[in-house]
Amino acid sequence: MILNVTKKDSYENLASHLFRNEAGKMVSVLTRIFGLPRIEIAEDIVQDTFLKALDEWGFNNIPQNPQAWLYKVAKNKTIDYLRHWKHVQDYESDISHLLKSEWTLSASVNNMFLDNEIQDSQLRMIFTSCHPLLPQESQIALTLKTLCGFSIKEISRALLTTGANVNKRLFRAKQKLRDEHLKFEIPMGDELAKRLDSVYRVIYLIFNEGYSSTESEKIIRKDLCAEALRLCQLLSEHKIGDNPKTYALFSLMCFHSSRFNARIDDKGYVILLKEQDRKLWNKALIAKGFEYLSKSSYGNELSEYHLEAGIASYHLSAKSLDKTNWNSILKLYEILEKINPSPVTILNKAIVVSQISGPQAALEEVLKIKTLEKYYLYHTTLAELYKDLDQIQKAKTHLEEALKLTNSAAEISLIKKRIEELKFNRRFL
Amino acid sequence: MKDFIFLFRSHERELQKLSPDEMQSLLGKWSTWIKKLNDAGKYKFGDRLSREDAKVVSDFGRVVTDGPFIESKEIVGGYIIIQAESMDEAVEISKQCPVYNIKGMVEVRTGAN
Repeated sequence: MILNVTKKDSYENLASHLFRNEAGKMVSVLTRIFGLPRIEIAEDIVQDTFLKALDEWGFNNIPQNPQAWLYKVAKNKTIDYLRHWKHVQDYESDISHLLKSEWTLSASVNNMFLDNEIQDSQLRMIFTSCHPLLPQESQIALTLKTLCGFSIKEISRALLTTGANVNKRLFRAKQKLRDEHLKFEIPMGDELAKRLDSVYRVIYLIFNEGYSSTESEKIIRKDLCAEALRLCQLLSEHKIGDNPKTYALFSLMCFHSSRFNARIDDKGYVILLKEQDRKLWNKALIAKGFEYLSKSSYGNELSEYHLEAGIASYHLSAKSLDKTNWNSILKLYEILEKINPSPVTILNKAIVVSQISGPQAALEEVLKIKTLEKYYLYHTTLAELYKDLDQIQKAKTHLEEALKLTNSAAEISLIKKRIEELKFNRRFL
Repeated sequence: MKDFIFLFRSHERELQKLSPDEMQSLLGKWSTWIKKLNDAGKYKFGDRLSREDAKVVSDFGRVVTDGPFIESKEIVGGYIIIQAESMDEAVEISKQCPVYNIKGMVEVRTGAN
């Protein structure tokens, strides 16, 4: 191959993360063909397809239409496999009868690669990976593996666990899917709402892992956020997922993503909201957040995603911390606390109370919470309030308590920084 | 200026472990590297070698086996021919090769004369 390098930047024509996105599509499509119990065949064929691309695209020989190239290779490998094993294996799929005859084999496989069928297959994969029969951590791992094209290593880096652990989780999850004879399908009727909630939860947790984790590398965190947004978008584009909750979740994730670059500094330290440079907030994502927030407001359902998106929208539309509409935010927190009284919600509400009625009122709120003494954020919040009340010694005690309760390097350095600042504070008392 | 051949050797199982994203980024690294060599006037030609379409012939053709080549630890995944002033320069050039990302190695060879 002599002339390939003179082809101008053919590699640049590849969309970023094309392989990752196409992996999710192809694994879904092939699982539909081979049936859920044989998902490994689907994964192997997809891996082989990419390996062939590595060989044939060589040093700089990217085809005009990379996606079509990948599909063609995957289809051929699939047809070869089915032909080779046709007398031996039966497939638990809704088109299995079409795969046995030479008359219908190629056409049926081709058909599965049409746009609407790809979309349909991906939806089936989302509902399967997020099946409530699986433990939540397995749902997350399986979703990242099958739909997002993550390797075991990438999943373990994202979820801060070992590869062996991820392997075990995936193995057991697939075993469970087989044992329970789950069908690879989109749920209907009464089942649908419950199953959708499980999907939302997984998307939200994947997003949070990317957004909140202070330990994993920045690149993998950004990827997780992007994947969560992509899955949610996929859901919203299908009639099954076209509903207010999907839009609320999408809006919420856009709002949070807009602050991604402003909330962590170059060294990986968390920058608190009040210290963030608002000019670094991504305006396009904020606008998108508002667009979807308004789309989410039809119907009569008010989910926690609606409330969290609403809260974020007030923060992001404020010109400065002082100009924030704290009263509206507090109202939303009060409703949220009723729906989901999680520690984070209660603590965040207390911070809002402190903005409106001062640190003393907030302190009383926080001290009422009895169950959070082992939670480092409880202590950092208390420390912040005591500091505002000029009770420096108490602030220090709680920061030191918080230090004992977190293992995150970034959190530890942030807390240490705050203890240092207290010393500075005391000098001026 | 002398011609040098670079043989890229790597383990099949290292490739198997790559995620789709890593494979895409590997393609990018190769493309950038080769283009840089080409722009510098060092690159003559090269290719990646098919993993599927491969045979090993021995004993005057009496034994013909299919690749991949189980006996050898690594397989040759590709080669390029470059021009350099000396073996030292060729080795220096090889240090930027993307094959190290998959724990592979570069064999740098040149003609005996």
